Amino acid sequence: MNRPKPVQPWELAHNPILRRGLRARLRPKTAIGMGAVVLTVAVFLAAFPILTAQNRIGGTPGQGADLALVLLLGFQGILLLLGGTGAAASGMAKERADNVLDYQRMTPMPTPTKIVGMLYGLPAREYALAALVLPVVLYCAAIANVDPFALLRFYAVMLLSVAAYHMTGMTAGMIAKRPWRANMIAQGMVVLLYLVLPRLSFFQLDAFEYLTLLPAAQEFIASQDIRIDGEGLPPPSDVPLFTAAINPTLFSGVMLGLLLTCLSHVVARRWKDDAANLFGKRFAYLFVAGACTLATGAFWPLVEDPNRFLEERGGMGVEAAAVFMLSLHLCLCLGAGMLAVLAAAPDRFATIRGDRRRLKLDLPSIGWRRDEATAAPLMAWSAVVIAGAFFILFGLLRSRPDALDPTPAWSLALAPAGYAVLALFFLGLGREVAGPRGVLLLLFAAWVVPVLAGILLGGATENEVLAMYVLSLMPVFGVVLEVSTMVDQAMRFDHSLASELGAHRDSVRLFGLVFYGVASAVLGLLWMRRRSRLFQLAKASMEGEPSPLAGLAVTAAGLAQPQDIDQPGNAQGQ
Amino acid sequence: MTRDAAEPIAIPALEASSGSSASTAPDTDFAIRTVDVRVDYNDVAAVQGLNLQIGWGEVYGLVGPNGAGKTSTFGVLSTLRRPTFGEAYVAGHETVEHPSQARAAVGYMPDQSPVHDDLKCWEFLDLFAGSYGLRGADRKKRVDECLARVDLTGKRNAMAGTLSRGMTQRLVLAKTLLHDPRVLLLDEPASGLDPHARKDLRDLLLDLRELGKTIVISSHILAELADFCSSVGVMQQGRLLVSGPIDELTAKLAPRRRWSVRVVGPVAPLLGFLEAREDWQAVLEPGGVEVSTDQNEAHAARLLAELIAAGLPVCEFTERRATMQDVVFGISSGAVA
Repeated sequence: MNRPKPVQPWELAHNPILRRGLRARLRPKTAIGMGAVVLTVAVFLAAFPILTAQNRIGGTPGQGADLALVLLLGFQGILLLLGGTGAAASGMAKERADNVLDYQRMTPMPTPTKIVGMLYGLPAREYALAALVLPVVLYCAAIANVDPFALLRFYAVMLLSVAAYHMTGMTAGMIAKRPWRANMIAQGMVVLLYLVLPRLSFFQLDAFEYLTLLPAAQEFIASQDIRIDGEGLPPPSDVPLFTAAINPTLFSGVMLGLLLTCLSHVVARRWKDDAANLFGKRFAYLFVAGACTLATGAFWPLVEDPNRFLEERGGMGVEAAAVFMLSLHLCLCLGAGMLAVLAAAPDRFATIRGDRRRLKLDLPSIGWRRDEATAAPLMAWSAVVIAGAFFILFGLLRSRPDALDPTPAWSLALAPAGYAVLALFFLGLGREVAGPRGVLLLLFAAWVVPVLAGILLGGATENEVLAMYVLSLMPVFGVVLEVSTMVDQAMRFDHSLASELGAHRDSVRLFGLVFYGVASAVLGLLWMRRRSRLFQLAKASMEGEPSPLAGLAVTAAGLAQPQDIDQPGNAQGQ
Repeated sequence: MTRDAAEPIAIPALEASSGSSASTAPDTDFAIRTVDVRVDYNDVAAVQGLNLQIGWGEVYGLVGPNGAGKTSTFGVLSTLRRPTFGEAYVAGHETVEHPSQARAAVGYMPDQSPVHDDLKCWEFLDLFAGSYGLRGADRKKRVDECLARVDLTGKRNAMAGTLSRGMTQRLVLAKTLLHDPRVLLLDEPASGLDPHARKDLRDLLLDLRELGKTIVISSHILAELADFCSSVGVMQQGRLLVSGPIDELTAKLAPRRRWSVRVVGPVAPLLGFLEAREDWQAVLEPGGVEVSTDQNEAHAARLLAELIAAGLPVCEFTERRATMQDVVFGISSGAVA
């Protein structure tokens, strides 16, 4: 017998989990029927435009093939993106719920190999069905004179995008305890990542649009001069990031690669330990830094050249544009920081576990990288990074005397940055004090209730000033208010949100700052008391522990005296 | 630093480890050793201060009521659960620091034994044979060997989801044997099985014992373990109350030997006779008397002779051996000390 050799991630042909997916999801009984349906639809999608162009419009088959190609690529996308993501989410959740995932956890196969196997094995049927459409696509591409390399490049981005979607499903399956909940989380994540975030391109934040397949599809259609009803698409422009301009397809690859890395990290952690935090501490630090860098890079060209932004936003002044860009940037950075803190903070049980370990092993600290360690240093790091990113962008704005006149003072940026930092500490400390469920209640009370109350006060009773006080507690609104006030103070800008509050402006914005300052301080005190109490609890629970050297032991190898046995804890083997 | 990098693992053929326990070539003194292991689930301490040592080739029964910490202990030994603190060693490999090596040495069959119900039996085993690094003809050969070992060759092409409970248990046991582990952890393997399937499983485990495997088996059906295990440990509320060879446990923890004595007619004369004997304790029971002593059979024989000589019409004089169940219940309830 040959020496067993662990399967590496790139050995797809030997990957047992992938082979399992192919076997289980491609049984002839179901696969043949579904294949016939898919092939019929694909042939129809190809034949109808080509024959219509040839026979009814009097055009060439190539004109019909253009439309057929777009339809077929869309059909493949639907099969893979929609069908495959559902299969990945529910398949992964089912494996966890059935506890068969534990079998795989125990094998010595490398974790990346297991993840790759699941990533392509769970949606094996959808891949096979999409592959069935491929000959029809190639036929249409040949008739439409499409460059094979352009098609190959598009498929590369498409497969990366599909992998990102499927990994989203797997992540949901790893997070949720039940398959139906996994499906809901997967749908929510897909909507957020691939529908909501890309909408930021509406505000000229093009970078987030590259989480989807659309820019790559647009580039492919434009580069191959594919025309639908005689009209083509303009090629997408290069993506501006800081001072560079990056090819759209390449940028899509980078964005999807980063997303895949984040999702893989979560899946790998949960694969190794079902109770692990979603983010490891080190990864959380990198995540905050990376997300803030990306957000700053995306805003950089807009702040550097506000006219680019203003051209698209007719009627918006440079001041309003400044408020908008700085607010959105700060909100995105704050969101990234909050996500990292929530994903990497321990609950109270983990904290006690860490304290017990520390006490038992007589360690000076539990170690900042462990899941049981507090996320307070991460909060501090996130605060520094978020404030730093904001000051960098603000500094860029200050360096544009043609954009803002007079140049705002540095000190004016302290209030918005301070508000964001305090809101972050509020959330982070709340997470550690109240736990993962309690923090949701805290946020509901501190964020959602004020929004509802503000809408009621402002909309139903026309008490707008009071509504603003209440709304200033919601970070998105609070950040906009702070930035707006900052720009207003700097430029005597008369039309901002802040100036509409008139005499109440400063007190409203101070209310938000003071609230989060006081709330963070109170939570900080509670956090310290809680840490102390949990430590005492851990210590108390340890005091009942016998020393491993205490008492006469009973083992498989030999018996202790009976009098030692009736004392719980003293009857252990030595 | 956790090292989870997979390294090549040696998987000898099943036959290669057959025979005496000496052929397992132990690389440590103990197949399993835990040092002060604690496991917490939220605010519940599932296992506390667990210090366990199990020698090579032993068949060790872990007994205790539900929630005693048996499954959590298996979780730590199988590397699936990280202890709050403490160390667990399987075949000399620490389960947190060297999980890959520990996993190569251990086979874990969980409670309920789930299977992939969308796979055929051979496909189910093929999946895990591949996951253990076996390739090509070696993989196929090992799958066939393991199917034969659990007597499921005839069900090779049956869907795993259609098997009976007993067959499913055997299939999962076959999966557990794929990499020929030296240590087997079997969590409640007989739960939910009918008597016939239970007997089949028992025979199979006896075969594995003959192959020299170290087997740790948990069950709350104590009678199953009595004639099967060489040692037993009793857990309660996360703690190991007692652990040791069954015979020694029985002798030490229930040192008094008991006999059932029945006479024809009223038992009052018998009770009166026994009350005068300080070396015997008598307890009235339906239809007779149970007598106990801390002395041996010869002493019992003398008592029988004296009863007959006294004209008592003895119609039954039977020893009642302390069972493992008596011992375990005695320990659990604190009655035995």
